[in-house]
Amino acid sequence: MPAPLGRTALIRRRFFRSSGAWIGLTTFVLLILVAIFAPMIYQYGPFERDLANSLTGPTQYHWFGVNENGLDIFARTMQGLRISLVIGIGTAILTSLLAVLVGTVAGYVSSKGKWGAIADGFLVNLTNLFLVVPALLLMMLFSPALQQASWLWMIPLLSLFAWMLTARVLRAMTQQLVRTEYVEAAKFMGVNPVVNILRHIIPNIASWIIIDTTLGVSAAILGETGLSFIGFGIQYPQVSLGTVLQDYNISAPYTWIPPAMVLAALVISINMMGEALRDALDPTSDSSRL
Amino acid sequence: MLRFMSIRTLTYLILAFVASSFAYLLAAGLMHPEAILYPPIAKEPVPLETAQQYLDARNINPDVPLFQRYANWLGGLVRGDLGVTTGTNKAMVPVWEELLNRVPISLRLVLLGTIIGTVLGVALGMVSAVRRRSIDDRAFTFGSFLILALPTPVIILIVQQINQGVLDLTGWGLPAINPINPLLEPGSWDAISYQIKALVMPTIVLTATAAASYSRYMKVTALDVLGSDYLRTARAKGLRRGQAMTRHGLRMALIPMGQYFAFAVGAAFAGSLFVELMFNWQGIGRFAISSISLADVNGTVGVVLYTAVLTLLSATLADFLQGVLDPRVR
Amino acid sequence: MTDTVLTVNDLSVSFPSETNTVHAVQNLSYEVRKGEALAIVGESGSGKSVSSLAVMGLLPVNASVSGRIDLLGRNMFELNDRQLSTLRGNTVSMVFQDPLSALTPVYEVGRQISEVVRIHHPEVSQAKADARSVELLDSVGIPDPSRRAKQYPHEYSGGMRQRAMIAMAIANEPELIIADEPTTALDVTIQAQVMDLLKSAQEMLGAATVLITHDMGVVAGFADRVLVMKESRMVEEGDVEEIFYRPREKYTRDLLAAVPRIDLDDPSESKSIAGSAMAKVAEVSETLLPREKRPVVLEVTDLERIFPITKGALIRKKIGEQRAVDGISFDIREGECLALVGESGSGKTTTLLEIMQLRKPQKGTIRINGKDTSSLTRADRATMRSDVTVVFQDPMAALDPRMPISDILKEPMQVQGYSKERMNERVDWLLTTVGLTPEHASRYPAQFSGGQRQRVGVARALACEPKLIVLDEPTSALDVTVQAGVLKMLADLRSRLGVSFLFVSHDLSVVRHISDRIAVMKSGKLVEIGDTANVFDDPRHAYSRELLAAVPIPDPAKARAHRSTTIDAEAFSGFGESR
Repeated sequence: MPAPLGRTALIRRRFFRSSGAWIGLTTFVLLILVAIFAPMIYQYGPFERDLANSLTGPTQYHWFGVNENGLDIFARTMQGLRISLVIGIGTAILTSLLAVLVGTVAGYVSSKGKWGAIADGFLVNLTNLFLVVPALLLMMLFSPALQQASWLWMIPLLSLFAWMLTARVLRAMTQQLVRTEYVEAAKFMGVNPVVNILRHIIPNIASWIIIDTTLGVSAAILGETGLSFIGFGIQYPQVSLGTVLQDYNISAPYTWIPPAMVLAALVISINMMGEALRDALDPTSDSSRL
Repeated sequence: MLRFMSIRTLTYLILAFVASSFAYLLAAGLMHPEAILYPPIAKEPVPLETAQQYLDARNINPDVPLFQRYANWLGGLVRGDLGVTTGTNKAMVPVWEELLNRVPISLRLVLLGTIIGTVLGVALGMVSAVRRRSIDDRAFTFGSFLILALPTPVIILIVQQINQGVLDLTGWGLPAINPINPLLEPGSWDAISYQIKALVMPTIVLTATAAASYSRYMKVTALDVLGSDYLRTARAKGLRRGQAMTRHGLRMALIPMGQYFAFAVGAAFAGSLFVELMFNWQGIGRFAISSISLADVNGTVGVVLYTAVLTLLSATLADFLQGVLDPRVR
Repeated sequence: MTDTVLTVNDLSVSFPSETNTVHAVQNLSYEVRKGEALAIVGESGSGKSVSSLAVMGLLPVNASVSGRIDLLGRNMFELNDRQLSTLRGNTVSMVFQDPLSALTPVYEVGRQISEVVRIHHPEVSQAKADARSVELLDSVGIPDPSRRAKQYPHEYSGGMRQRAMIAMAIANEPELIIADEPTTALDVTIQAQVMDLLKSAQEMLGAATVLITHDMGVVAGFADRVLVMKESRMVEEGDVEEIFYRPREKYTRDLLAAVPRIDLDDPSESKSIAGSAMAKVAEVSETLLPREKRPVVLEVTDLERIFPITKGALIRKKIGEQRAVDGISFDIREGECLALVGESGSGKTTTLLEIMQLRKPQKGTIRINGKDTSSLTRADRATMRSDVTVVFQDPMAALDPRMPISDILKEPMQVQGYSKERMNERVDWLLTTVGLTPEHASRYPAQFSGGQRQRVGVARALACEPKLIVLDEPTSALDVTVQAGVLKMLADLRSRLGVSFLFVSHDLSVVRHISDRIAVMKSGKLVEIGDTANVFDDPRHAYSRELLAAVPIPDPAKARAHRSTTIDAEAFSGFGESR
């Protein structure tokens, strides 16, 4: 019997075999590079007004054109891309942390007697409460006050209303793992619950956490864009892809198509990586008995 | 079954009450309606007593403790009174009346979008799963992938831009904005046909987003079902692939889908908010945006209550569907 | 040859996989005649199930198949799905392994049976088909069939579900019945009933039958001919007597030897690997002090564990109670092995968990080395964790797939605060003790076979020099030939290290040669406890006798004498006329 490949090597191989992974990864890296370097070399800033040229299409000076208010669309799109990237990645990480915390704790304690069941019940109801509250309205409520402090507040705000579904899934997975014999064995050896979760449970659900974090980046970017679009997101003196889109004008398609394309490229590239990752980590999703 | 439904309904009622109370305390704590009613830049100072009367009449006096205001609001809630609107308009329109005027406009969007979207999504997801790796599957999967990668405003812009293009080219197009044409005589055929035509683009947008996410969930659950032992039994009995899937698989695949239904309505509300804003419909979504920007506490909480009730109803419906489909939970 | 029902000729099936092609079946040929029962025996992964799915034409789409299968003279590979569908359920039917997942959960059982009638006889009205399904349920021995037909699968017990599956399989009086491990998921007593039912049904219909199983014991009473498979190829084929009394191949002999014999007292006579190992152990234990003089390691008195049965999601209301463990008492002395035997739901696992908690039980007392567990402090309990350890049933699930073996073995020692050098030393010693090598320490569980993993599980239990090891069905998830090796190792450890065992099992034949004493458990109570020899020779309780009688005997002559006709042919015969 040949020595089987290590798990990590196998996953890496499966991941890079998919063309989606390559396209996604290349596009994503390219977008990050552009977001970092383009504003450094471009001659206009996101808030520089060129009213003489307002509502003109792409030219060699204004690469994507100028909007109604005389603002350069390329400069704004690039600045917006920076902000959206930071918010997307930050939110995804924070969301996953919250979801892992709630999900694993609820799943772990649910089997631990009466008090465990009560604690689990509390966490489950908390999750359900967050699922039924109108998240968009509450974010609209909080956002203006938080934005006055710092635009980075967007990250915890978006995370606060995004962790629930992942937490639910992770709780169910933890409950399954807690019943497995190796977690039980560790309990019977006297391993401390926190160590048990960190050593046996989280590594075994790590693949799902990674997939979810990846897809969470694009979800957060979409959420931020929506919120900014209706005027409750990123405020002046910052600009995000949502605020750029806000200045759309149906009779001048160049006012919205460039930021929309950048946004689409960003989200699609992230989702492509996420899907490729999912296929690499869970090859059984392919099988069907029919 | 009845017992099961009533317990669920009770749970959801409590959740809706908690959610709107929470929203009231938040809104009243965070917002400053008095600053909008009497902007600091007002030229003539208003006499203190008049100001107090104004604020008290609207239950937004910041000098009254928060919990006192909450108690007032609760008292109103028990009597079926949601308070009056504030903001720059001093007309004191009851929130209840404002909601009643606007709900029909929003609800037709939400309902049409959810129902068509759900049915379409379930059908497409099922086809995708059964005919895995076929051209249809690839097309549907790619389509939903694309729609889910775009924020709703961009989808609306694409639809509007296409309509605009067709209009420029042929001279015929769907109404770009407004749900009704005030120039046409109400009740006349022209007015009705205008309303129907005005509904097309918003419905396309909401249907597309709902169907995209639904077809993905459906594909996943249908693939699970395809790998199940009971489906193999059904095949061993002599049912052909399609028969086995429709007779045994479909119902099993729909059971987990019922739970997503509750969230779909919430998503449709969020979607309708963008639609109302960009198609200029005077529905709940626009009311929500204006209420929050004008620091209208009562109006905001009214909207929250509406969405909570909407979610509650759809969750109850989802539970009912699940109870009908699955004898194990009855 | 007009009476040949099924001919399989040079069948090969393979599946594409990540790195290479997996050959599930290679060059398999056999035929089954009318009224004949063929058993295909093999361990997991031998390709026996895949070959039967190939006959049904139900292989996954990614399988590539070559060879030829003829059913009643029709080449199955030339038929399209529509033509195959008219055969499935009508000419050939199948009974699957797990009756819980094989029935659609959302339809009434009666409807699922009448469906198979209506698929192939659309002219039969729904009402007639329903009546027919009640008849069928009656004939397979479901009590109160007209009420039961209206129930859903989750309201049936495991044995009843498998009876319903058989009713479904015989509904259209097929020419060929394929049964894929039909009793693996069932308790022994139920297992015997279901096998008898299947045999009677086959004899009544005169159908050809293919039984797929890993259990030689089940085969003896059922099959006319036996085909042994190993690693996707046929090893040997012959009449049942030939295979059992005069096996030609070594692998067949190993399979037979691995089946614990309950009908023979003398372990050495059973020719089984485990048996002869136990014989040696028996000699060693003679030199020990008599039982009464040895110290008590575990003492359980009047242990009780009651689960409330509640209903309602929000407001929980107690509607009853399940007496999982209902006042049991026993003790284990140093170096002794007590077997706790019972079927699923008898409360044996709950008993084990109660002991392992090391906490105050709901009622009764648990003493370990004379110390009452309810009086333990946190620190005492942590120390005691090293004295009482556990080995689990499923070697796949018992080891964290993401940890190398050395870390798995070190985990309990870390808790007890062993030094690094001592841990490394012990890892090597432990691995050699359980029959592995120190080089295995850096590997991951996925790189081991089931038997090797179970050895790692035992090594982990031994890590901190325990006084008592609780073994929860340690061999029931293993293939029979591997089972014997693990049992042998356990017996060996017991004699060398003098550690006590609490051996939980559902299978009497497994514990016969390893245990000193047996406790038989049913519905939370101990119905009988005594020396192993006494329980086997002279069971006092009716349930113990029933359990003993149900154990399959791997001897065709004895097994046939054992059999009883269970199908109600009268209830069945109605259909032929009504059609």
